[in-house]
Amino acid sequence: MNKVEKRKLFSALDLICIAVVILITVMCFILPFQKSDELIAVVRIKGEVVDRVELSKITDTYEKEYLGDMKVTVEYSPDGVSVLSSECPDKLCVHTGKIKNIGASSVCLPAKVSLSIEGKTDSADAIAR
Amino acid sequence: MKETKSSDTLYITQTALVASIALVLSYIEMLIPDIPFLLPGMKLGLSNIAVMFALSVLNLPSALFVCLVKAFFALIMRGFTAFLMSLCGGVLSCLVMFLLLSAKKMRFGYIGIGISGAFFHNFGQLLVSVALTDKTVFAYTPVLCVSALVTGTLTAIVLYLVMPAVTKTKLFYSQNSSME
Repeated sequence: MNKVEKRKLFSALDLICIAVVILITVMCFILPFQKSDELIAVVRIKGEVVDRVELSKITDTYEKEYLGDMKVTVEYSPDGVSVLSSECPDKLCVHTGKIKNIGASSVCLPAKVSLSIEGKTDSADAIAR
Repeated sequence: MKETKSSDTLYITQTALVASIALVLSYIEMLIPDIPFLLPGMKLGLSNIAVMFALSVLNLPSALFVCLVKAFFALIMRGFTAFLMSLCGGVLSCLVMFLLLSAKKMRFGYIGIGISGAFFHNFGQLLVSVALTDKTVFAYTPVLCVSALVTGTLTAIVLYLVMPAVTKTKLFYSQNSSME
Protein backbone atom coordinates (compact mmCIF):
# COMPACT_ATOMS: atom_id res chain seq x y z
CA MET A 1 0.00 0.00 0.00
CA ASN A 2 1.07 3.58 -0.24
CA LYS A 3 3.10 5.46 2.28
CA VAL A 4 0.49 7.98 3.40
CA GLU A 5 1.40 8.09 7.05
CA LYS A 6 -1.16 8.48 9.78
CA ARG A 7 -1.20 12.13 10.64
CA LYS A 8 -3.14 13.62 13.51
CA LEU A 9 -5.80 16.23 12.93
CA PHE A 10 -4.26 18.36 15.63
CA SER A 11 -0.85 18.11 17.22
CA ALA A 12 0.80 20.24 19.88
CA LEU A 13 3.01 21.84 17.23
CA ASP A 14 -0.08 23.27 15.56
CA LEU A 15 -0.47 25.56 18.54
CA ILE A 16 2.70 27.34 17.38
CA CYS A 17 1.14 28.03 13.97
CA ILE A 18 -2.05 29.33 15.57
CA ALA A 19 -0.15 31.42 18.13
CA VAL A 20 2.00 33.07 15.46
CA VAL A 21 -1.01 33.99 13.33
CA ILE A 22 -2.91 35.38 16.35
CA LEU A 23 0.18 37.33 17.42
CA ILE A 24 0.43 38.99 14.00
CA THR A 25 -3.27 39.90 14.20
CA VAL A 26 -2.88 41.46 17.63
CA MET A 27 0.20 43.40 16.51
CA CYS A 28 -1.78 44.86 13.64
CA PHE A 29 -4.38 46.21 16.01
CA ILE A 30 -1.92 47.62 18.53
CA LEU A 31 0.43 49.36 16.10
CA PRO A 32 -1.50 51.54 13.65
CA PHE A 33 -4.59 52.74 15.46
CA GLN A 34 -3.50 55.80 17.38
CA LYS A 35 -6.20 58.43 17.43
CA SER A 36 -5.30 61.79 16.00
CA ASP A 37 -7.17 65.02 15.40
CA GLU A 38 -5.51 65.65 12.09
CA LEU A 39 -6.71 62.95 9.78
CA ILE A 40 -5.72 63.15 6.16
CA ALA A 41 -7.38 61.08 3.49
CA VAL A 42 -4.88 60.08 0.83
CA VAL A 43 -5.88 58.77 -2.56
CA ARG A 44 -3.35 56.91 -4.63
CA ILE A 45 -3.58 55.67 -8.18
CA LYS A 46 -1.01 52.99 -9.00
CA GLY A 47 0.94 54.06 -5.92
CA GLU A 48 1.13 57.75 -6.90
CA VAL A 49 -0.49 60.16 -4.46
CA VAL A 50 -3.12 62.07 -6.42
CA ASP A 51 -5.09 63.70 -3.63
CA ARG A 52 -4.68 64.64 0.03
CA VAL A 53 -7.69 65.92 1.93
CA GLU A 54 -7.68 67.06 5.55
CA LEU A 55 -10.84 65.71 7.10
CA SER A 56 -11.04 68.46 9.72
CA LYS A 57 -11.46 71.03 6.97
CA ILE A 58 -14.46 69.31 5.45
CA THR A 59 -17.81 70.73 6.48
CA ASP A 60 -20.18 69.08 4.05
CA THR A 61 -20.14 65.61 2.63
CA TYR A 62 -19.10 65.57 -1.01
CA GLU A 63 -18.12 63.11 -3.70
CA LYS A 64 -15.23 63.02 -6.11
CA GLU A 65 -14.37 60.73 -8.98
CA TYR A 66 -10.97 59.22 -9.70
CA LEU A 67 -9.93 57.43 -12.83
CA GLY A 68 -7.53 54.55 -12.31
CA ASP A 69 -7.88 51.55 -14.58
CA MET A 70 -11.58 52.00 -13.77
CA LYS A 71 -13.68 54.82 -12.39
CA VAL A 72 -13.93 55.01 -8.60
CA THR A 73 -16.14 57.44 -6.66
CA VAL A 74 -14.97 58.51 -3.20
CA GLU A 75 -17.20 60.14 -0.61
CA TYR A 76 -15.57 62.58 1.79
CA SER A 77 -17.27 63.49 5.06
CA PRO A 78 -15.97 65.06 8.29
CA ASP A 79 -15.95 61.74 10.16
CA GLY A 80 -14.37 59.54 7.51
CA VAL A 81 -14.07 58.57 3.88
CA SER A 82 -15.48 55.71 1.88
CA VAL A 83 -15.51 54.36 -1.63
CA LEU A 84 -19.05 55.03 -2.76
CA SER A 85 -18.97 53.14 -6.02
CA SER A 86 -16.52 51.47 -8.33
CA GLU A 87 -16.72 49.91 -11.74
CA CYS A 88 -14.74 46.91 -10.57
CA PRO A 89 -16.44 43.49 -10.43
CA ASP A 90 -15.71 42.50 -6.83
CA LYS A 91 -16.65 45.73 -5.00
CA LEU A 92 -14.40 44.95 -2.04
CA CYS A 93 -13.60 48.63 -1.61
CA VAL A 94 -17.30 49.52 -1.48
CA HIS A 95 -18.01 46.77 1.06
CA THR A 96 -15.16 48.00 3.26
CA GLY A 97 -17.36 51.00 4.06
CA LYS A 98 -16.30 54.15 5.80
CA ILE A 99 -12.76 54.31 7.16
CA LYS A 100 -11.96 56.58 10.08
CA ASN A 101 -8.66 55.66 11.75
CA ILE A 102 -5.03 56.23 10.92
CA GLY A 103 -3.65 53.31 8.99
CA ALA A 104 -7.05 52.17 7.78
CA SER A 105 -7.48 51.76 4.07
CA SER A 106 -9.95 50.79 1.39
CA VAL A 107 -8.45 49.48 -1.80
CA CYS A 108 -9.90 48.84 -5.22
CA LEU A 109 -7.36 46.48 -6.69
CA PRO A 110 -8.82 46.09 -10.20
CA ALA A 111 -8.87 49.87 -10.63
CA LYS A 112 -5.48 50.21 -8.85
CA VAL A 113 -6.91 52.98 -6.66
CA SER A 114 -6.30 53.05 -2.92
CA LEU A 115 -7.84 55.24 -0.28
CA SER A 116 -6.16 55.48 3.09
CA ILE A 117 -6.08 57.61 6.18
CA GLU A 118 -2.88 59.05 7.51
CA GLY A 119 -2.06 61.28 10.43
CA LYS A 120 -0.43 64.65 10.04
CA THR A 121 2.28 63.66 12.49
CA ASP A 122 3.80 60.73 10.64
CA SER A 123 6.35 62.88 8.87
CA ALA A 124 9.11 60.27 9.20
CA ASP A 125 7.00 57.98 7.10
CA ALA A 126 6.44 60.72 4.55
CA ILE A 127 10.18 61.29 4.22
CA ALA A 128 10.88 57.59 3.89
CA ARG A 129 8.36 57.44 1.10
CA MET B 1 10.21 3.30 -29.32
CA LYS B 2 10.34 3.63 -25.57
CA GLU B 3 7.63 1.82 -23.74
CA THR B 4 5.59 4.03 -21.41
CA LYS B 5 5.86 2.83 -17.87
CA SER B 6 2.49 2.24 -16.31
CA SER B 7 3.58 4.07 -13.15
CA ASP B 8 4.19 7.23 -15.22
CA THR B 9 0.73 6.98 -16.69
CA LEU B 10 -0.72 6.50 -13.22
CA TYR B 11 1.15 9.52 -11.90
CA ILE B 12 0.00 11.76 -14.75
CA THR B 13 -3.57 10.59 -14.32
CA GLN B 14 -3.51 11.15 -10.58
CA THR B 15 -2.10 14.66 -10.99
CA ALA B 16 -4.72 15.48 -13.61
CA LEU B 17 -7.43 14.14 -11.36
CA VAL B 18 -6.36 16.30 -8.41
CA ALA B 19 -6.03 19.32 -10.73
CA SER B 20 -9.58 18.80 -11.96
CA ILE B 21 -10.78 18.55 -8.35
CA ALA B 22 -9.05 21.89 -7.70
CA LEU B 23 -10.86 23.43 -10.67
CA VAL B 24 -14.25 22.20 -9.51
CA LEU B 25 -13.60 23.54 -6.01
CA SER B 26 -12.46 26.91 -7.44
CA TYR B 27 -15.63 27.08 -9.47
CA ILE B 28 -17.87 26.23 -6.53
CA GLU B 29 -16.10 28.92 -4.54
CA MET B 30 -16.85 31.48 -7.29
CA LEU B 31 -20.54 30.63 -7.06
CA ILE B 32 -20.65 31.44 -3.36
CA PRO B 33 -21.23 35.19 -3.03
CA ASP B 34 -19.30 37.28 -0.51
CA ILE B 35 -20.70 36.28 2.84
CA PRO B 36 -22.06 39.60 4.10
CA PHE B 37 -21.25 39.45 7.80
CA LEU B 38 -17.71 38.23 7.27
CA LEU B 39 -14.87 40.59 6.52
CA PRO B 40 -14.59 41.75 2.92
CA GLY B 41 -12.28 39.68 0.78
CA MET B 42 -12.63 36.57 2.87
CA LYS B 43 -12.87 33.42 0.80
CA LEU B 44 -13.12 29.80 1.74
CA GLY B 45 -9.99 28.68 -0.10
CA LEU B 46 -11.59 25.37 -0.99
CA SER B 47 -9.09 24.60 -3.73
CA ASN B 48 -6.36 24.55 -1.09
CA ILE B 49 -7.83 21.18 -0.13
CA ALA B 50 -6.76 19.82 -3.51
CA VAL B 51 -3.26 21.30 -3.23
CA MET B 52 -2.76 19.88 0.26
CA PHE B 53 -4.08 16.55 -0.95
CA ALA B 54 -1.62 16.52 -3.86
CA LEU B 55 1.19 17.23 -1.43
CA SER B 56 0.13 14.44 0.92
CA VAL B 57 -0.44 11.61 -1.54
CA LEU B 58 1.55 12.67 -4.62
CA ASN B 59 4.56 14.98 -4.52
CA LEU B 60 5.70 18.59 -4.76
CA PRO B 61 5.85 18.89 -8.58
CA SER B 62 2.28 17.68 -8.99
CA ALA B 63 1.07 20.04 -6.25
CA LEU B 64 2.80 22.94 -8.02
CA PHE B 65 1.16 21.82 -11.25
CA VAL B 66 -2.22 21.95 -9.51
CA CYS B 67 -1.43 25.54 -8.43
CA LEU B 68 -0.56 26.44 -12.01
CA VAL B 69 -3.80 24.98 -13.36
CA LYS B 70 -5.72 26.89 -10.67
CA ALA B 71 -3.96 30.11 -11.66
CA PHE B 72 -4.85 29.65 -15.34
CA PHE B 73 -8.45 29.03 -14.32
CA ALA B 74 -8.36 32.36 -12.45
CA LEU B 75 -6.87 33.99 -15.55
CA ILE B 76 -9.73 32.80 -17.73
CA MET B 77 -12.49 33.53 -15.25
CA ARG B 78 -11.31 36.65 -13.43
CA GLY B 79 -8.47 38.23 -15.38
CA PHE B 80 -4.75 38.83 -15.11
CA THR B 81 -4.69 40.32 -11.61
CA ALA B 82 -6.44 37.25 -10.26
CA PHE B 83 -3.95 35.06 -12.17
CA LEU B 84 -0.96 36.73 -10.52
CA MET B 85 -2.54 36.59 -7.08
CA SER B 86 -3.57 32.98 -7.43
CA LEU B 87 -0.17 31.91 -8.73
CA CYS B 88 1.86 33.79 -6.12
CA GLY B 89 -0.36 32.72 -3.22
CA GLY B 90 -0.63 29.16 -4.47
CA VAL B 91 3.08 28.57 -4.98
CA LEU B 92 4.03 30.18 -1.66
CA SER B 93 1.49 28.19 0.35
CA CYS B 94 2.44 25.04 -1.54
CA LEU B 95 6.11 25.40 -0.61
CA VAL B 96 5.33 26.16 3.04
CA MET B 97 2.98 23.19 3.36
CA PHE B 98 5.57 20.97 1.66
CA LEU B 99 8.18 22.00 4.26
CA LEU B 100 5.79 21.35 7.15
CA LEU B 101 4.65 18.02 5.71
CA SER B 102 8.16 16.77 5.15
CA ALA B 103 9.49 17.79 8.56
CA LYS B 104 10.13 14.35 9.97
CA LYS B 105 11.05 15.22 13.52
CA MET B 106 8.37 17.84 13.99
CA ARG B 107 5.09 16.26 13.01
CA PHE B 108 2.51 18.95 12.50
CA GLY B 109 -1.16 18.02 12.48
CA TYR B 110 -3.49 18.79 9.60
CA ILE B 111 -4.77 21.94 11.29
CA GLY B 112 -1.33 23.47 11.69
CA ILE B 113 -0.44 22.74 8.09
CA GLY B 114 -3.81 23.95 6.85
CA ILE B 115 -3.56 27.24 8.74
CA SER B 116 0.03 27.83 7.62
CA GLY B 117 -0.93 27.08 4.03
CA ALA B 118 -3.95 29.39 4.15
CA PHE B 119 -1.90 32.13 5.82
CA PHE B 120 0.86 32.04 3.22
CA HIS B 121 -1.68 31.80 0.42
CA ASN B 122 -3.25 35.05 1.63
CA PHE B 123 0.17 36.55 2.28
CA GLY B 124 1.32 35.82 -1.27
CA GLN B 125 -1.82 37.48 -2.60
CA LEU B 126 -1.22 40.45 -0.33
CA LEU B 127 2.31 40.82 -1.68
CA VAL B 128 0.95 40.93 -5.22
CA SER B 129 -1.59 43.56 -4.16
CA VAL B 130 1.16 45.64 -2.59
CA ALA B 131 3.23 45.35 -5.76
CA LEU B 132 0.25 46.43 -7.88
CA THR B 133 -0.87 49.32 -5.68
CA ASP B 134 1.04 50.50 -2.63
CA LYS B 135 1.79 49.52 0.94
CA THR B 136 -1.52 50.74 2.33
CA VAL B 137 -2.83 47.30 1.37
CA PHE B 138 -0.93 45.94 4.38
CA ALA B 139 -3.88 47.21 6.44
CA TYR B 140 -5.60 44.00 5.32
CA THR B 141 -3.15 41.88 7.33
CA PRO B 142 -5.54 41.26 10.26
CA VAL B 143 -8.25 40.21 7.83
CA LEU B 144 -6.00 37.66 6.21
CA CYS B 145 -4.84 36.31 9.59
CA VAL B 146 -8.37 35.74 10.85
CA SER B 147 -9.46 34.29 7.54
CA ALA B 148 -6.43 31.95 7.52
CA LEU B 149 -7.37 30.61 10.95
CA VAL B 150 -10.93 29.85 9.84
CA THR B 151 -10.30 28.56 6.33
CA GLY B 152 -7.14 26.67 7.28
CA THR B 153 -8.99 24.75 9.99
CA LEU B 154 -11.82 24.04 7.59
CA THR B 155 -9.40 22.72 4.95
CA ALA B 156 -7.67 20.56 7.54
CA ILE B 157 -10.88 19.00 8.81
CA VAL B 158 -12.12 18.22 5.31
CA LEU B 159 -8.81 16.64 4.37
CA TYR B 160 -8.66 14.66 7.60
CA LEU B 161 -12.09 13.20 6.91
CA VAL B 162 -11.47 12.58 3.21
CA MET B 163 -7.98 11.09 3.43
CA PRO B 164 -8.80 7.60 4.79
CA ALA B 165 -11.63 7.19 2.30
CA VAL B 166 -9.58 8.19 -0.72
CA THR B 167 -6.55 6.13 0.17
CA LYS B 168 -8.80 3.08 0.44
CA THR B 169 -9.81 3.43 -3.20
CA LYS B 170 -7.07 2.26 -5.52
CA LEU B 171 -6.89 5.57 -7.37
CA PHE B 172 -4.08 6.86 -5.21
CA TYR B 173 -2.12 3.73 -4.78
CA SER B 174 1.63 3.06 -4.97
CA GLN B 175 2.83 6.48 -6.16
CA ASN B 176 4.54 7.39 -2.93
CA SER B 177 6.70 4.30 -2.88
CA SER B 178 9.07 6.23 -5.13
CA MET B 179 9.25 9.06 -2.65
CA GLU B 180 10.44 7.24 0.43
